[in-house]
Amino acid sequence: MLKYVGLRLVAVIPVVAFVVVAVFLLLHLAPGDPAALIAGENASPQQVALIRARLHLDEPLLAQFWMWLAHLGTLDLGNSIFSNQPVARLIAQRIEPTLMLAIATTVLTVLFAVPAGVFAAWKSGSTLDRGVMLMSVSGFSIPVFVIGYALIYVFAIQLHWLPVQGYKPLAGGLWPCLRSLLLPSIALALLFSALVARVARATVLEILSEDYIRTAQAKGARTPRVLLLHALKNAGVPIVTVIGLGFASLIGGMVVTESVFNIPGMGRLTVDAIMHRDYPVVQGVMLTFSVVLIVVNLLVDLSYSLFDPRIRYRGK
Amino acid sequence: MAPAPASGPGLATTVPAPRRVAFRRPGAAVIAGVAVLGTLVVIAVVAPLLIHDYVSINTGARLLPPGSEHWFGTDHLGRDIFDRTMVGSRNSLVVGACVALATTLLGVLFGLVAGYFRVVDSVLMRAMDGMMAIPGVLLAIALVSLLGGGLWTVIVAITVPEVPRTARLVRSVVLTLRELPFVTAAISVGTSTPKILLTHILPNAVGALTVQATYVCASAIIAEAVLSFLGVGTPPDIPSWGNVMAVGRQYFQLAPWIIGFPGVLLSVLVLAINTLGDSLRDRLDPHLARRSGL
Amino acid sequence: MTPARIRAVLAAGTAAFLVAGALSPAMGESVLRIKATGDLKQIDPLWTSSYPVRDMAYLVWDTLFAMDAKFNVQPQMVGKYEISGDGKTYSFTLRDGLKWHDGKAVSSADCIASIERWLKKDSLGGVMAGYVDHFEAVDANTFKLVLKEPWGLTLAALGKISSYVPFMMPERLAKTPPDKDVTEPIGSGPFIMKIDEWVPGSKVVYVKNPGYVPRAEPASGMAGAKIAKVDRIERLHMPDDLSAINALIAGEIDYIEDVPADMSPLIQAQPDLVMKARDPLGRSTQIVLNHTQPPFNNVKVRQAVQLALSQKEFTQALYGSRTERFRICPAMFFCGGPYESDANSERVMTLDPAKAKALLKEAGYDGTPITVLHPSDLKLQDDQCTVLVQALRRAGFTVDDQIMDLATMFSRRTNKGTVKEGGWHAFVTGWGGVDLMSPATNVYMTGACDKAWFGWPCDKELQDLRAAFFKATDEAERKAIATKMQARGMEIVTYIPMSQDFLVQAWSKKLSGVIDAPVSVFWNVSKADK
Repeated sequence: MLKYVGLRLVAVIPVVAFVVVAVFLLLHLAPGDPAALIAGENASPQQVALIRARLHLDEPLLAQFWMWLAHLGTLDLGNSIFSNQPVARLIAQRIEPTLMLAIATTVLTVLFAVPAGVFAAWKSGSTLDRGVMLMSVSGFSIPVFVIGYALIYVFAIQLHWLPVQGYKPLAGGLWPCLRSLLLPSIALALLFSALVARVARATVLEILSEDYIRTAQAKGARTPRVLLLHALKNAGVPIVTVIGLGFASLIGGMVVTESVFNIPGMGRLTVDAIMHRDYPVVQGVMLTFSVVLIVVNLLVDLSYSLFDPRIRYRGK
Repeated sequence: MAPAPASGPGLATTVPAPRRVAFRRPGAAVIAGVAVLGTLVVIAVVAPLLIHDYVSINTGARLLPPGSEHWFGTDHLGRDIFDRTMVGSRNSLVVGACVALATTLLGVLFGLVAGYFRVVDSVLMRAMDGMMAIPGVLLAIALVSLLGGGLWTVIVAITVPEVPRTARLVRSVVLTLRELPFVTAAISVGTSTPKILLTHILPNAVGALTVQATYVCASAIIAEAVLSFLGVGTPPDIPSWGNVMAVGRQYFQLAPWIIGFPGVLLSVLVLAINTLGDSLRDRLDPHLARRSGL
Repeated sequence: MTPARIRAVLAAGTAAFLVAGALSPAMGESVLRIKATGDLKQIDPLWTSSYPVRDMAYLVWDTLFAMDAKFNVQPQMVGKYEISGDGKTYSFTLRDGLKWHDGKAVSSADCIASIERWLKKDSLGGVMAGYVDHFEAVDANTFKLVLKEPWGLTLAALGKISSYVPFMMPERLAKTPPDKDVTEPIGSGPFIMKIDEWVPGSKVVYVKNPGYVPRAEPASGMAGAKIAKVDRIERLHMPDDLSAINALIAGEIDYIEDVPADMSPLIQAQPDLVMKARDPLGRSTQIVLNHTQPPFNNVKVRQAVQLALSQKEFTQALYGSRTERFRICPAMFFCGGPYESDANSERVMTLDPAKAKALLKEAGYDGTPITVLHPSDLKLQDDQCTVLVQALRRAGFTVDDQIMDLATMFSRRTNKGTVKEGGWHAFVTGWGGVDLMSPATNVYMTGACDKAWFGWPCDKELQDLRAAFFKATDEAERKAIATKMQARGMEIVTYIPMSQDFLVQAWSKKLSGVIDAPVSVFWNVSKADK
């Protein structure tokens, strides 16, 4: 097991290298000059040229890449070419809101979607089942910004129950933090639940028809107990897979939610940096993302053995 | 070194039958699904032939609510939402269908290869991990510069980050099936590898793939809206549900019709595709497909 | 202790261990939360022309002179000043008690170094540099500026409020070479920027400078007393306009700098909010044509564009019937500015696609596609380009409408090559009135060929007129030259003015003392508890 984890972690290096090179090339392939943006809308061509030189943007691509790598060698992600702030600091500022939002969304999803899926499977073919499936379909066919605006309009503007926007850091107390995250995480959870509920339903439906469940029922186990102990446990693997994959795409796809609810998270940092061609920030963020993604994938793979002890990992 | 999930519970006792399609009478839901999808496809084909002027702005007719003159109202530049939505259905369907198709084809290819050939598995899957990490926006910006902004750029930019998910799904199906008696039996009688993959393994993944493809199709149409909003989507000359909704974003409280009509059509489309996908899966009903979820 | 109090104490305790960005304001502090346009991406106001950077720099850094609400120059950091009889020597004495945020006193050496850096960075500074002979520090508080020959615009230049303002910085920062940017926000202004609380892309925090000594005169424009009446300002970057408006309605923020025209009904419906257009000059939109590329190297084709466009149509598309939002204006040096004129503006003020077509035919336009740089990530520019493209097509142009993001547009417009080499034909942009209202600062009117602003108009007559403007000694003469410059500019189409519009601000009725000026600044603003 440990050996397996070790090997997987070693395998991280080439993946990260691939991402870093691909992102670097894409960034520099994309037109758009950060110097022109720094200088601003009304700058003169001369001022733009001055900034270009200062940022070494005129040097060959390979030289620029080498400079960045050399920095990275000393564990330095460099500084933003706009704010001059260290990239590591920018990421540190943004990671908490994103992580909290991702966790809140995942928790809400699991609390809602898994039971909904299980019940839908249990009462398969009933009105309840259809209702759950209909909801799950609408969940991903409504753009998340529409859900967001609707939630804000009802709960913040009309009812005054929750704030319109903003993020309250955890340091200011758990409750204010959760309050500020409630609406955005509901918006995201609706999207995310769509998937998880479907998978949960399909999986449980499958397992309910298995021999051992029928055996358990024949032995007199009451239905909820059967559902919970046997079915859900065995349904764990695919559900966790979906949640794990979703978690990854959640981090990537939170830009819209973060914009609508004005949460200073990683999604906005990334897209903002891409739109402004803040090369060091994009590269630093992508490096972080790919590491996080790989770790999440690893955790998902490892959790399989938790749900199904027959699944064992071995290093070669 | 690759994770090797053993066969799941139940699989050891029940051997999935190979593909078997039995005729059953279609239910009302399926008929409705076919009708809706058919109608939308017809609209997508016919609308651009009938509606010629969907780009002209009319500054005197800004933000008009739906009425007899403009059935779906107008946007902030006085463009008719009905015209743009109808013509847009073609572009949206093209984006959704192409992304779903491309994602499925590439995902199946990579997934089958990774699942069956141990040697390439870890390399391929790590590459997939990497692909997943590349943001579509960045890809779209780079592609816009290479190919120019347009439908194809959007399709490629949305497809690339989606492929790994499908590949992982197919791979997980392959990994589980590979050890099952009917596959080992096929191997022992000397069936060629491509044949095993195509006739024994792939059909069992069809159900899960269908569900996955519906999901990809819907999310592609929405992703296009996000790209439009960031300035790397389709130009206003090429209306789509996505860019009409992106325009309507700001007017959610004041002119909800801009976002509402394409939004409702999108939901209806997704619902129809899903219903069809579910029934298709039920028909193909390979035992395993459901388990693999998605 | 009340529960809220306990929570606050606990929060303060925990905060010490966490990143600075997580700090929350102490109880009882008055906090002004503002949503201004754009994000503060950098600190150095001489490194960028960005208006947000300039606006926020006014809180941190002070100026020797400043323009009041009537655009007259008034002393600001300077207490007394004298101009010698020959008009060549300016002697400035700083007010007493001026201190940098790090506690050191403001000295003559600081100011001289700051002006010298500005002379190298700003284009108006560059003009002034030609007149400057030398500086001379008389003592710690008094210094002299000696010119080679008299220059009437000296004080106006030192008090300019358009981009690249001559802010005073401590000598060690002012000595930053012109090819490097200042990264420490140490000034002597009424607010202190908390760089440790800065979250680029999200939030910038300023706190009251307790050591600031204001002038005695009341606040007027950028001049007069700059009294910090709130303890803390949080400038939030909110990318979503609708959410920002909703946040204002819910009382989560106090002020929005720019309410999009179509959203004003949402604000008007709220009795607790005030909505008001900012400064009488406002901003303007310009269509910029590339003079170096065919077909726009032909003046007739450029003039056809003037006939193809209509300010009325433009404004209507963007603002509908909200006439308080815009002003149709034939002037190149701004309506409402001292050099307003309608000279030679007939083509710009008439919409005549038929005549444009005729002109194109006469010029032998062969249908070469006009490449329009169309950024679609900023709604306003996106809409403007959509209108432009349609108007050009109506007048017989073939248009290649190139969708891109702003970053691409900004870098493509620097390309002087052909379209094949990544060049361009036309783009839309906007400038504030304070920049365009004078031939001294209006970048379009240099006629300086390769050295001109994007579009590179090349015209000897315009160059000569501009030189004469700087040499002119009285205002009447300047005005006459400016009018001639406009006539020439309209003839060769240095740019096409596309109407002026006004930034409409909205704020909570809790606020009072919001300053009406072309720059958004927040001294003099107080916030009531209820």
